[in-house]
Amino acid sequence: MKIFHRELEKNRSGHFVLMADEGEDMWHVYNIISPGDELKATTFRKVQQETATGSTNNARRVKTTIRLQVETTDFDASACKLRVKGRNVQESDFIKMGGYHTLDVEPNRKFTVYKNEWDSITIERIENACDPTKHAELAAITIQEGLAYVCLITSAMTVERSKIDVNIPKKGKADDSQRKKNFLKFYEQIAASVYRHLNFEVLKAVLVASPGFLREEFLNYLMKDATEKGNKQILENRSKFVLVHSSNGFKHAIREALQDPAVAQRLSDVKAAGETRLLQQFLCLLGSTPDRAYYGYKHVKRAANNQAVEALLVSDTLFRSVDNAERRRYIALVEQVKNNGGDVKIFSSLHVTGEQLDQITGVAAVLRFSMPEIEEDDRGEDDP
Amino acid sequence: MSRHRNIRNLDYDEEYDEAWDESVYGRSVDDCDTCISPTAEQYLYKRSGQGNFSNFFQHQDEIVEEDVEAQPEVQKSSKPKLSDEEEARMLSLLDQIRSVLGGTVSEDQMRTEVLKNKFDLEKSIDKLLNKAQPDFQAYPVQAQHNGRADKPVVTTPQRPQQQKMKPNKTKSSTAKGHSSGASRQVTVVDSSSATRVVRGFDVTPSATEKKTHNSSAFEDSVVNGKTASPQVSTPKPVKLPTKQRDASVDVRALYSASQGAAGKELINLVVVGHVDAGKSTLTGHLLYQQGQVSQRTMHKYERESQKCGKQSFMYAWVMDDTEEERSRGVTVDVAERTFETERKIVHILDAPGHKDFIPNMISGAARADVALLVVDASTGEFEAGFESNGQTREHAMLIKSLGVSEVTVAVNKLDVVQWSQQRFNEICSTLTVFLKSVGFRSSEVTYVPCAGLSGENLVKPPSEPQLKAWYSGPTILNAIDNMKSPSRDVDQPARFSISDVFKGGSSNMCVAGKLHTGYIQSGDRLLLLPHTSAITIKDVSCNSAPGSIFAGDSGTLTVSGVEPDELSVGSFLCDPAKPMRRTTTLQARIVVFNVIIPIIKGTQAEFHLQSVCEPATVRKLISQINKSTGEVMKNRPRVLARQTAGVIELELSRPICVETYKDCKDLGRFMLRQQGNTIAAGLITEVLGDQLFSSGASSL
Repeated sequence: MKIFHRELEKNRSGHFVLMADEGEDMWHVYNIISPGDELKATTFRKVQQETATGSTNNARRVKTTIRLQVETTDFDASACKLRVKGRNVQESDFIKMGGYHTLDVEPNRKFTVYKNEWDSITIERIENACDPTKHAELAAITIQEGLAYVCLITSAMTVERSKIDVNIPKKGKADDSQRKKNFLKFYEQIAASVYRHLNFEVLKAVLVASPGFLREEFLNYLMKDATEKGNKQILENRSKFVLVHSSNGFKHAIREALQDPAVAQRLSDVKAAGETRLLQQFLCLLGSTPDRAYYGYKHVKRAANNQAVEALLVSDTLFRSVDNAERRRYIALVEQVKNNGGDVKIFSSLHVTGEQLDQITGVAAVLRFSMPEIEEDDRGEDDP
Repeated sequence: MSRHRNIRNLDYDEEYDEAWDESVYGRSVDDCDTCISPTAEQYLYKRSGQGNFSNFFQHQDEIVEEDVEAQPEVQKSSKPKLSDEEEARMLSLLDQIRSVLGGTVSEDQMRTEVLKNKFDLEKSIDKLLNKAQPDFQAYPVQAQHNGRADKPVVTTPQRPQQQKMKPNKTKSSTAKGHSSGASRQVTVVDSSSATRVVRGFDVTPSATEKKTHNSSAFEDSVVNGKTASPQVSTPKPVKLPTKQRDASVDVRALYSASQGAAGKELINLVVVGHVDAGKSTLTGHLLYQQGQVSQRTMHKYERESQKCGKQSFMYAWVMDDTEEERSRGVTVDVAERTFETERKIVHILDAPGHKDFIPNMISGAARADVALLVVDASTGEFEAGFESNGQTREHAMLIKSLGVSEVTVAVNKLDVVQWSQQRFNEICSTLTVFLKSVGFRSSEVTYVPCAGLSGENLVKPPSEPQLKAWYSGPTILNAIDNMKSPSRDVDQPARFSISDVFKGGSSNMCVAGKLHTGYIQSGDRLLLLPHTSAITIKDVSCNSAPGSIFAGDSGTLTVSGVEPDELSVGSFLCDPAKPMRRTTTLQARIVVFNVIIPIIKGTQAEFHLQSVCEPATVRKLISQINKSTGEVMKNRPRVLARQTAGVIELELSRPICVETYKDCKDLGRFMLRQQGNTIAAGLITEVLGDQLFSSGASSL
């Protein structure tokens, strides 16, 4: 992402002129634009012109600049497409004031976002997104007998590229050619997905995670297949494949793979790896000393009021909330923790870790000291 | 031709599209309802005319040409001349009416009605609908024919020619018919246009003709009775059987009959234990000594294993038959065999011991009634298996939670420690304490010293003097023989869990698995869930009576009527009258194992039930309960820590089939695993937000 211009008033209102470069930036933009904001961008609109006599001539597509007050935003994670729907707020030759329009935010085209209030989290997000050093591309293949996922992991999101599901007959038959055949078919399909979806020029590493020996067998197959097909790209990048153990082949096994110390070291600059570590720390603490680990807004807020929060885990879903007051509540919490010297990690809800954090209310905290009173106070109240 | 066409699912619009297309693409003779040329027509054999046969012989002489010729006149009179524009409007209206009424009304009626109402769509439909009921009964054949055979009428551009041709055609063909026999004539009358003939007797056919057609109509309606009726009712998207089989079967009687002959009880035995404890070797050697493996095969294994320098694996190769298992020397998946002892038929399941393959072990152990826990007695090995992450521990907990009632502990490899009684006792006392803590009473546990590789004390009583000196108890085989078989619920509705899907010999699909309750025989119609489709059992292969399978048996079913893709491991086959419940949310009572991370709202884990393995999320912690008494200790707890019990709500990523524990013990037990550790065992107490499967069962 690139920033072209920024203008912020004292009252924190103002605008940013931005340009998205790639799919991941769309995800950032999706997180930046919330309902109520205004967005100026170029778009195409079908316009029907009326002549003086009242007859209409054929509709034609016009390229125009439009300024919308945003009502809803839609993000398609697999295609990395962002669609924004809203009402026109600027006089224009082609569209009435207040007329509805939906536009796709295009990569490599400038657009302007106007907000009444730019908060620190959003600004930080934009700055992070513009920092090229923070881009690390990673792919993960999780395999179990008959089921495999091929995913791309960027700093902000995990995108499922393909899911391979092949029925493999069990052992114990006199004729196991069927089993062998289906296994080959299974590997072949994963390999096809690897060829199609993984670009080794940008990828830092490919994690191959599976229980048992499947990962080795798959890698052997892939190398053999690549040799036969003369696929140089794969052969040259053999060292990028990292074999990791995981207990299953579901998508959430990525979390397990990223926890592996060997991988964690190699990928220390991948945001997802840091998130994984922190989440694991929180969950372990919840088991060993539950008085130092809390989740849910109410509990965490109480801990923050006592300056007890060492690390705050927040999911970015909360900042996308339609409810403005709620959004502000969480921003205040984050700022409070930061001011008290606490560490704040904003989890991307497109990662498996973020998914898990979302499941536990989206906000969690690791405390500096035990605060058993929080839970005791809470007896008999609403859900945590 | 109705037999060849799926009349019920017929999409009329599409059919008519085809009718238009045919002028462009041409068509095969088969789906030609009117002939391309009049000369070709007489050579075509029309199946729909079959009903006329017998009638025709009787009235052979009475078929007169004038009669047939008269019809076009009738037709002309009933059809006023329309201008091109009107004709086009008529056609579009007819199409619309047809899309509303289906093929229940003859085209002629539609036309007249449309003309009467001056091309008013609504009115004509109303009129037709009011008429439809009696009309339909009076002219079942008419409806049939119009449903499929009136294509040329719709494509009216051809019509004038056709009409002109008609007299010619009929003449020539009847003439031929007379000379060459009655059977020809049958085709003539019918093929001279099914629709026309039928239309004809709306008005005034001759008495004889009427008789012929009426009776043939009657016959047709009988033949097509089944297909005709669904046309009236709205078509069902899926056709599902309501009953498993038509004739009721006295299952108990059949069951006792099948038992009577052999008189042996069935027992499902799972062999579990830490990795490398010698499970497969012990099982393989047991089978060999029981005569289940031929001398020749054993010799082959011996030679081959020697070649790879793994001679000690020769017996394990009996169970581990895939290449990777042999080359790596590790069991990956459950192997199954059946053998007989004095009093029992034993279905033995050899589970993998490696931590990574516990999901496979769960699917095997879930099918077992009793277990053989193999522990390695050699120094250090027993301890390794018994450590906190050793499989001896985890397997023991798993089998208890999966409903195994009795355990035989095989203290294996005792030859390595010179058959030391002290070592044996030491292991026994450690295990006794542990197994008690897991929940096995001491009366449910038997300890047997043995050596799997040398085969000592497996089948024959010990010959080794060092062992003989202090041991006089049962052999492994005796111990298995002494275990109690559970009762078998053959009277319950059928529930078959699929653990393997493969292609059978004759290109039919086969499913292997266990029948938990009920009874299945070949020819049964079952419901495949959660996919929800009907399935027919072609064949049953199982160790009990041929062609049938009783609760508790494992076996292979050859199935038909289903796409191979629809069959998947983890699906169930069940009685269509009493199907299982399909759901994504359920309430369960769980016992949390020794976990580091406690269970909280939102915990993600893998849900294992029989062969099902699905990601699941804890939706709600409802209460924490006392492990032994079950009384509620705390409502809505924040966490469920290790070694506690609670009631939770689970949500699965895809619908699966379950039963509450109350209804079916086997299908109400599940395991939760996370990152390679079993975190909890549970019993389903309630199926929430269930889609109680009904659409099929009640609709037909």
